[in-house]
Amino acid sequence: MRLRYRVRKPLLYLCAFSAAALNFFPVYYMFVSSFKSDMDIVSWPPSLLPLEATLANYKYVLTQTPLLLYMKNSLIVALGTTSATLCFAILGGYSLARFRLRGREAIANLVLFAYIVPPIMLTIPLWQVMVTLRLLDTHAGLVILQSTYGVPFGIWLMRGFFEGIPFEIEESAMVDGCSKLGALWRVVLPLSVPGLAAVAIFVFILSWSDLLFSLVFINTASLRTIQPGLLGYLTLSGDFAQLMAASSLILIPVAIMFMSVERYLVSGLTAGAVKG
Amino acid sequence: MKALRRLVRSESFLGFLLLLPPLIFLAVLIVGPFLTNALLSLQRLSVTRPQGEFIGLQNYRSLFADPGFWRFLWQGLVFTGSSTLIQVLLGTGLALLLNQALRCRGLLRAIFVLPWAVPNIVAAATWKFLLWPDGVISYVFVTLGLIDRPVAWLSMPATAMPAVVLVSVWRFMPFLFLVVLAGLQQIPLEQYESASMDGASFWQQFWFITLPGIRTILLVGILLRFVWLFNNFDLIYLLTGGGPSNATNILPIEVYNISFVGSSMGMGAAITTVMIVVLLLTLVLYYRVRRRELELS
Repeated sequence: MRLRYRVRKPLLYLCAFSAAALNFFPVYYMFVSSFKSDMDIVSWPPSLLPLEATLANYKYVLTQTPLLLYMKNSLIVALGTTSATLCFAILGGYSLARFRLRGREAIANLVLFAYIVPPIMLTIPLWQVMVTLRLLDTHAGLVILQSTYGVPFGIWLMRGFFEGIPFEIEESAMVDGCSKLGALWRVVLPLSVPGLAAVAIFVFILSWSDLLFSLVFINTASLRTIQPGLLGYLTLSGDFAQLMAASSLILIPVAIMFMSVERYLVSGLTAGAVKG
Repeated sequence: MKALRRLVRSESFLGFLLLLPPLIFLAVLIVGPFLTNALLSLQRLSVTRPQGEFIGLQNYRSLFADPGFWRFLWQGLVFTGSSTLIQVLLGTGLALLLNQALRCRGLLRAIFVLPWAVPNIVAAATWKFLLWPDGVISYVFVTLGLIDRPVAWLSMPATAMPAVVLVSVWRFMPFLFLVVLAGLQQIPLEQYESASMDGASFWQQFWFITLPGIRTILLVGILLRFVWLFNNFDLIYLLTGGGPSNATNILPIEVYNISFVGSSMGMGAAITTVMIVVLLLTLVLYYRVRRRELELS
């Protein structure tokens, strides 16, 4: 038994690190290739490092394409979507977790049903809703549309999270003179940071990644977000060095943000998803 | 008046008040459109003919007679099923690995979840680059002697679907990995300790402690992932647009093409209604398995 243990440990490390290397390779290769010259990018065998590093690709995408504008638009929409979704998730999750409402289980099932509705199904009817609300081709409209991605899952996760917070903590705050909402704001929410962070990053990435809604509902070129904005470059140009430079610019801000809250994800998902 | 005031001050009224905004959100933006969509599927409707003309089940009749529809439904199920299965196996394996006492666990976990943060357009661009004929994947396969000459993986009908599944596994696996990891951390360590004192082998511990411990959460994860992939439009659309010659076409892409490119919205609405029936069946299956789970425990 003990001998096996000594063999097992290095084997575990070997598995873990080779899996990590494989998993990381695409991102590494994207970043490295963004510095390659036009000749280098098509070389065979493919080079793992640029033969001579150049910033020409970055210069091109920053000055010759509207990438920065698309990123600004995406950032506006993603921040809007994240805040809206968080509000709905907190309200829905908290009321489902803490109040004995009539039809609570029915509402919880409705939330799960909302999760399975295909986004593509929403596009056709919501087209008419957006026309009625005069929100077609606006960022505000896009925020509402993209919120449909995350609100059901957010409510579900936050409900589980709030249920995991002992009610006594809230009660003692209320004994000390807090109102119910005051207790939610001052006691429950600070304790829910992991859950909130998990929902926030989850939704931010969904929004930053959205193609469908932005493609269907945004027409004006100056309002376009990243995905539909770059769709043409992806299918037509085929200049991979420039694409990789653009990709690096798009990925890096999200990746940094993601890494800073990543440790919350496990605890956030634990509380939310264990419930089922 | 007094009764009203008491109602307004009562707890459940507050709860109802808090629930109202999300409820309106779901009703107006998801459940309402779901019902409207069902009505639209009974109409002849397009961008140029927005008022619609009632034609009964005509859309469904032509849909079910169309072999393309059955093919794209099947391809969607193949894509969703195989990608979910691989994600479950890999995600569980990696989570088990990282649940061991390893050094650099934080770094490894961060690397495993990194693809989650990669926007679809970035994932598509990067993988198109890796998968193009002169790319890294071809090079590796040629070097290993598995193929004679470079292959255009995404533009050949035979390889496009496996390639798309590969990318989706890479892009979407982190969620299942984290879900399983979260489940593993719920299992009390004492269970393992007492089991190894009783001389239980690694596999016995896995079978009798680990698996029952994560089964519930894994089931939820599988359901969420299956639904998400079945509905996913973005990734495949960016990678192949549904081609080559429809080899990776799935229903969400078909609906987009029919409704907004071909402008036959009634038909698109009919397809999405069928999609939701498939997903409801999945949901029923989930509830059944879960009920058996609850009875067992």
